[in-house]
Amino acid sequence: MILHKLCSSPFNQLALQHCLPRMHATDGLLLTQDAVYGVMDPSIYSKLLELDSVYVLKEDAVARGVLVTSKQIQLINYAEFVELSLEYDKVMSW
Amino acid sequence: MALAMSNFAQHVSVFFMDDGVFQLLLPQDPTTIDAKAYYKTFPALEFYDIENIYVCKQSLIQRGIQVSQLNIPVTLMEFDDLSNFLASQQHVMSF
Repeated sequence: MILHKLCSSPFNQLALQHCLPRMHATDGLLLTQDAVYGVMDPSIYSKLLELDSVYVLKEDAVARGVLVTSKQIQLINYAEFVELSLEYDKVMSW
Repeated sequence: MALAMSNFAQHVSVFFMDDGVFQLLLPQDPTTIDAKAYYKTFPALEFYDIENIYVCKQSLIQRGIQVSQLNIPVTLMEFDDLSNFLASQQHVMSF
């Protein structure tokens, strides 16, 4: 039960690419800051849709013009981010 | 900076490549994270006689961005051509 928190663009750094294969079935993935660009990479996007718990920080997505259309990916605000961090056993920042 | 340089009668070209192309993407709203809305200054470039605005075609394709999603008219440039063109500039400043 780890919440993996990403903040860097997958077009710039490989944190998201490295994180995805290491995720356990009960883990969650939270995309913040430039990591929200991950939904614009077709190969990453298809992997995100295979996961049960993917969250995107709404403020960061709206700021960057990143549209999240899949219901599989949940848009959350800062208050929900805090709640999530308590729901999971640990938060791992990549 | 580009606007300032053109005031000194310098011939300015602006290049957007890699994640820099995201700066042109609409509809963005940086106020949600209290960031500066740089994209709003881009339409002013033409009034400063900066008409050489180049965007790397491959950078757009990788990110699934269409030209119609950009907030100003730009000239698309192939990856190799852009590198060569960049090399031909007298001075380069990156942001």
